[in-house]
Amino acid sequence: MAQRKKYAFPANRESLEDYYDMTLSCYKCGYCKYVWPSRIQHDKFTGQCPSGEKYQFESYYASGRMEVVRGIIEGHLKWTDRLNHILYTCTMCGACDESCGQVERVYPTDVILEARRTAVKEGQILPGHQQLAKSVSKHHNLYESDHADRNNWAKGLADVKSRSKIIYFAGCTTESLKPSIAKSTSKLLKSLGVEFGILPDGWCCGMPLFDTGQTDDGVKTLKHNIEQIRDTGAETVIFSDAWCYKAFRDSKDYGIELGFKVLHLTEFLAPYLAKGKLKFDRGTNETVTYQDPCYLSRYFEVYEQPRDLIKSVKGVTLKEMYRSRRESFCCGAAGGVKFQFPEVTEHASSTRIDEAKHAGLSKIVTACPSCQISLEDASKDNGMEIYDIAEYLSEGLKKTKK
Amino acid sequence: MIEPAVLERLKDIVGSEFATDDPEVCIAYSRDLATYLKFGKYRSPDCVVLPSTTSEVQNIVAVARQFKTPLIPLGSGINVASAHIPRKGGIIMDLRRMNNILEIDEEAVTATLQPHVTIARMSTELQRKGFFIPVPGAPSTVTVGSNYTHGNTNKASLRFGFQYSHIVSVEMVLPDGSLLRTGSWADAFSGDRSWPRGPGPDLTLLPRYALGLHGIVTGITIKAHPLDDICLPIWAAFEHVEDATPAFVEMVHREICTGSSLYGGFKYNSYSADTAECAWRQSRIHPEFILALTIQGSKRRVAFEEKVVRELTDKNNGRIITDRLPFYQMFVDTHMAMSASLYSEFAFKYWASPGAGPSFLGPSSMDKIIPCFKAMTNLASEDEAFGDVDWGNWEFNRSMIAYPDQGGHFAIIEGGIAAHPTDPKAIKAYKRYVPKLIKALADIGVSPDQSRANTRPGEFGISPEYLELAEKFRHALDEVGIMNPGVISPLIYR
Ligand SMILES: Cc1cc2nc3c(=O)[nH]c(=O)nc-3n(C[C@H](O)[C@H](O)[C@H](O)COP(=O)(O)OP(=O)(O)OC[C@H]3O[C@@H](n4cnc5c(N)ncnc54)[C@H](O)[C@@H]3O)c2cc1C
Ligand code: SF4
Ligand code: SF4
Repeated sequence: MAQRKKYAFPANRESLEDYYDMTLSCYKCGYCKYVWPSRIQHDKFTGQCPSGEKYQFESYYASGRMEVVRGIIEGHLKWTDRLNHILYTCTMCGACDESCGQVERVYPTDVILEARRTAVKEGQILPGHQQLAKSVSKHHNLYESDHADRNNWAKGLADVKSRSKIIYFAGCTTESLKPSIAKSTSKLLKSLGVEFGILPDGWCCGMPLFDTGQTDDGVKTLKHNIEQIRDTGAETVIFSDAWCYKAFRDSKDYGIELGFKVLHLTEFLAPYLAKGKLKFDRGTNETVTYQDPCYLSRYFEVYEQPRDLIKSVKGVTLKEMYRSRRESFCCGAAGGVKFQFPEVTEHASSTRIDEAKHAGLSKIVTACPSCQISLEDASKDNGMEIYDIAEYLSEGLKKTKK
Repeated sequence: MIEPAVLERLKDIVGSEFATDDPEVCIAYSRDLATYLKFGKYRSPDCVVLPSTTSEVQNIVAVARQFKTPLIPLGSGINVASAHIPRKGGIIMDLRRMNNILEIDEEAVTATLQPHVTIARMSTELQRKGFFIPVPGAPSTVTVGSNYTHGNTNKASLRFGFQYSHIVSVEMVLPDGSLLRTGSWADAFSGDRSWPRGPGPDLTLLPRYALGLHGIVTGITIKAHPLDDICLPIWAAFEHVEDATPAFVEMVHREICTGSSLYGGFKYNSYSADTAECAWRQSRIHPEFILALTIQGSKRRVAFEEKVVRELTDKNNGRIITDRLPFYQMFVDTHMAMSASLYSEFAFKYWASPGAGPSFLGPSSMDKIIPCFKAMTNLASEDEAFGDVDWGNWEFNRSMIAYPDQGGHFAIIEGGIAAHPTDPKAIKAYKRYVPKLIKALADIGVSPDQSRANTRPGEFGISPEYLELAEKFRHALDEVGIMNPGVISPLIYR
């Protein structure tokens, strides 16, 4: 999202009550539910809100959630399973913010997030989210993986460095579940002769904790990483995981000045591509599509760099799905949703796979391990191939070198 | 509270995941713009049900009837008049799951749709096939089931007429649960073809402005038009309302343009400005009146009408400013049928900074446009909350739109205070301002609805005898009184 402009009072919001006027200023215009009207490409694919599309009741759309939050503030609603379900099935994809930003500027995700923080303060932590926090506190990752194994992927590809101008932060999802992304990223960086290091003791970035309202825990783990990075004297940190990228980019919201530059891998590679220093050839002619990770695209407007990189691969044609860029449909993984309500993730990612199939596509490239995993899970029986952009490009690198 | 037996029956009909009385779900149906502006009350339904087929709708009606439970159909809930806010509790029937485009008949140039298809979706699909529909004066997120029957003013599309005149057939579940199919659906010999019109007596407009009282629209066929050669938005600017109005009136009476509205300059500024600062600067630079027009048709027609617009603009000391129109290309691309679709237009900041504040709507004759604008200006000069007469204070700028209605015999005048609607100061100032305004307008013979200010007075000029008959008719259809009780058409609250 570009610059956020709020004209409502008060300017500084610190508690849920401070968001009261935001909930009231929702006019029920409904723009947050759909692809922005002038950009509709196909009438079957016009929904924008993953949770609304699944549950259909107004409460599961941003506009309805504004009423639910009003109900909490006014004391009409007590904490119940349904209330938590409504609050925590939002994937924080930001599609509603994007549309509402063009009409009323309620910025629903801000309101929903504050409601989640309030829920946590009042002891309402859902089991899946509690588990997250436990795992992060004990293992420093989301998946209860052995912390000692975190840099296993790096053997022969990347080194822990005490001083380095560039740090690659792979993140715990990649380290635990998708090490191939980290390997591919390292290969790409090496092919450009980039000198980089990895952290000796990197922890989870904290994003799912922030998303689930467990802000203090999130700040703790984020701060640990920032200190580690500062110790290396790094000027730039590269991310291949959109969640981690967002956690660091949002650090100002938690009063933290980073003192180094935060770049997604695709942002880092873009200037090299522009200068002709990157050439890819996967040895095949094929058409692929691109899934925008919400935390990279809608939140930080990284739309073109991944596309330019994909288009630069010899013989590859990039075809957009009906909903793309600002109108992209979330894979359903974010917002802490997949840890508590995986059925929402499943619904969103299968909807997305259906869309790709409907558009005659069979290969999807994305730029975040979580998007990759959820789309893969929805593709088990339908032959859709899902790639992370680092893998997709680095495979092209191999062929070029031959 | 809903009787447990009712909820059980509803769950049996639609599946347990699509019917609930959870307050966390019900509350989302309790408020709309009118309630926010304090012209209505927050009222939650007792339960919500989401049917997916016409027969489910029939079965739900049967349950509501059996248990004498109020039943309110819901489209998008954007009617800005609380028409769907339950006055006596009961069941909200959210039609969201009935959202299929059933057919676009390219020979008959019609679209057959389930009620919850949005105008945006229908429009996109029609345009892909080379057709268009005149779009309503509302966000394009409204649903066809409601908007085609309830869209009231259709802002001055003199060429295409009112929106409801495009309805070819409707399928409706009546309050007794029976299924009414009108138009060519009622023609035993028409086969699958939907052609205007069906056999008589024609009940196709039964749902029109009935606010759900006469039953639930479950299907609708709409007449579309082949895309025109050209869709040309053209805006003219005038320094004085005394110049803008005669130009406007003459254009309306000559029946040119598919859409025409007269805007106080401030509206223009707030539409085109991105920030409060920008709106403020623009209002300093352009304290003018804007005629927002769309010319649409064959090349010859557009050339002819453009010539007339230019001549009338020139004659009345105006100038064409189309190149400054913020969404020019979008109008052309989306084939907007009317200029006042500034409201429904497909990409614009309706509530752009500084936002539209509380407003009112009033019918008047065309010759009252100038006195109305002047009355507002005078009031603004008397009340410092509304800035100086140069409209320098954007925070509380008054704004006004006039557009022709009923074939140009009347003007509808919408007035408002353009301030951010969440600004408590604006609301306070509005409360002080409106009674003065109502009095000033009454002095010149214009009577906005005093009791509800911004809410729509329905069609004005309805005789009490007609209303009485309409009420008898409603009673005949729904003697139990289950359908949207507490509201009678046209929007008279009880
Ligand atoms: C910014 C703005 C500008 C507007 N400008 C105009 C304008 O210029 N001219 C104009 O005419 N309108 C205007 N409107 C109002 C809007 O066009 C209409 O109220 C529209 O029809 C609402 O559609 P909806 O789907 O949201 O209906 P809802 O708000 O959901 O419902 C409206 C009424 O219809 C009933 N209803 C809904 N669906 C059905 C159905 N399937 N069968 C039977 N009854 C049903 C409901 O019970 C309710 O009483 C404007 C609205 C906005 C927000
Ligand atoms: S776009 Fe914003 S104002 Fe409109 S319904 Fe959604 S949240 Fe409310
Ligand atoms: S952030 Fe996404 S899932 Fe959440 S309310 Fe907005 S559109 Fe829906």
